[in-house]
Amino acid sequence: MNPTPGLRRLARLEREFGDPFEPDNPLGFNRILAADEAEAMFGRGEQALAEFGLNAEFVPSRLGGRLDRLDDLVEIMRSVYRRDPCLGLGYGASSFIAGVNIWLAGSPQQQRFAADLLCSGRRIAVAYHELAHGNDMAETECRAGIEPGRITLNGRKEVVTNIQRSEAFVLFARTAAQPGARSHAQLLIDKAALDRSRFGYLPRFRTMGMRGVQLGGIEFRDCRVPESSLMGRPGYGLETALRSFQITRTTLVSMFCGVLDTGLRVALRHSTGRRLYGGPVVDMPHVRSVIAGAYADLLAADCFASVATRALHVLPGETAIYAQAVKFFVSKILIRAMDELSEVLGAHFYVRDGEAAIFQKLLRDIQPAGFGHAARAACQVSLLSQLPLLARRSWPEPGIVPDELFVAGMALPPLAFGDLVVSAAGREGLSGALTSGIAACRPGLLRPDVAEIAEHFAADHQLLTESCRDLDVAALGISADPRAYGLVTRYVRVLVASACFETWRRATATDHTTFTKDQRWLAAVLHRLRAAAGNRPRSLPPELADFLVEEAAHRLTSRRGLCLGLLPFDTHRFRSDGETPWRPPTSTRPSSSLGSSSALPRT
Amino acid sequence: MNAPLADYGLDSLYALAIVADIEDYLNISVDATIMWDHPTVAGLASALATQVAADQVATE
Repeated sequence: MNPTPGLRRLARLEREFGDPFEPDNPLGFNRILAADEAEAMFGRGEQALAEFGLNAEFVPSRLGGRLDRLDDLVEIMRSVYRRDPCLGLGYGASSFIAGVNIWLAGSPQQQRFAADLLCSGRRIAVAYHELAHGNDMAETECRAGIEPGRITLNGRKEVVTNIQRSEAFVLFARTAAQPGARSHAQLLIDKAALDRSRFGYLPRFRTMGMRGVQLGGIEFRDCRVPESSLMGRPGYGLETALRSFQITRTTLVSMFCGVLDTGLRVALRHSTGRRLYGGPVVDMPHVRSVIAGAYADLLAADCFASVATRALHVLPGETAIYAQAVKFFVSKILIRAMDELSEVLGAHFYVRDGEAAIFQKLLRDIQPAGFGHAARAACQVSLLSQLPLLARRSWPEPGIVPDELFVAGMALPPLAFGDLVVSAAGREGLSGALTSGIAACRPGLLRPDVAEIAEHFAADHQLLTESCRDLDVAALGISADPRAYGLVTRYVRVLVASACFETWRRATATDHTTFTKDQRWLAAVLHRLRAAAGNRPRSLPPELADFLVEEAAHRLTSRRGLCLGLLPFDTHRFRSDGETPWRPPTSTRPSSSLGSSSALPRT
Repeated sequence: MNAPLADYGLDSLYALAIVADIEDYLNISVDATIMWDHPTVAGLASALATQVAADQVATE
């Protein structure tokens, strides 16, 4: 398997940014924290990203950019997020959201204009949000009055990243007064063409996390824009949004995996360097258990989000389901894992100075994963009304899903924005793939715990099929019984279990030893999922906890990322075949490799 | 009959889910967004009648 060009660029980005823990690194945590204290964007980091050409990553290669594979884009952005989520969102991701809308609905001229802007390092903001309406986008009030020859804007957009310092923005506006889903449109607006007396910027919104990100607003007063600003047909704005959001909901939350990657590093460095009660903190079984649990959660989040990201290329007809499930699951598990790691740090998670100071910033910065772009609850309720359909149309069938979803680095079909559909119409193969995956394993291949837990989720899939098939769809809207929401939670766990099981099972087909092929990570992920499903301890069996802590420690010293992705941070180790040499951690006894302070960088 | 279905609390995502019930009930295939394009009971009924008639012609 050859490293994709995207992974080579990731290696370059890592090389240029260097080790963020290094105290004197001008692009490291010390400088990032100073910018955060000043509620400012990290200027040096923005400059480095401009030199790297990050915004070209958001532009399809047919338009002169570098975007071919969304999984490569996510890996590159995780590399930014693991250092400074403000850079990730405030330098990059908002232009990405705007871009996806334009590649999906814009005219050839609009796409050219946007591609040229981004490839030359400039920004496009995305003005969707109105405080009064939150995720209820159909209620949007900001108006685009369309008359022959001209469009007139009135109203305001609030809490919009980079609205003031962007060169252009995508506006989501009301084009018709009647309620419903055919009364909106997107417009791509070149700020240079606006009459400065007809619009004004709102004061910056100050926030708890992502402090450097410039959240602003804009207000229009009879502001004229050319007819050519309109993207697509008036009335189709909500449809465009729901289609393009499948890409951005899946990938943006996946980028936050980089935050937990750093959280785990901080916790490991801290607990290895610190001695309490006569030994290194990391040797305490409870501490090992918390770190291992957080690592298992990172692997679950990474694996599920990566499968859904590849699905955007492979199964675009189904991603209306997966995107909501990823946003719902991944945001929560990442935030909770960071919360749990804070216990390992004790008071140090709260301190804004010193070796662990980046943790308190990341703990604040990760919060928007749960509500930014779309709230978890909104994703949950949108899945709720799909359950009867899924139970009738897909779940009884054996799920058949292509290998490309599960194998990192396999060739993917090109991203076809036009193939994304507003509704999956009850068709989805991933959840059912668990049952067929279990059946495809030769006897004795599965660890007993893996077999037991995988069977549990396959059985729950059947139970869900029976209990959802005849649900009255009329009772599953916004006013649904809160108890029904639990059905979505159970369904999403089946999806995650299946994504992880099938990723592991596909890896067993490779000849060489890889981490993904080792059944212990799968066992750990399934233990955590099973505990979340009820009546099981969340802490991992010691054998699995030791495995994951040793693996994490090994990756820390060998400067590799903690996710399933294959790329080491240290590019000297980046072999031309794209695989990092991997051998299982040799010892499962505590303190074997962690007890001596020489095994890890000093904290 | 001519009041927007949104007035009855029918939000846009929910409208997508109901379409499948219509498909299964009438045994026809319709656009997922038919209720977005025909947001009243009268409009929807007329659009579905047209679709059913077209399907009958197609199968004859």
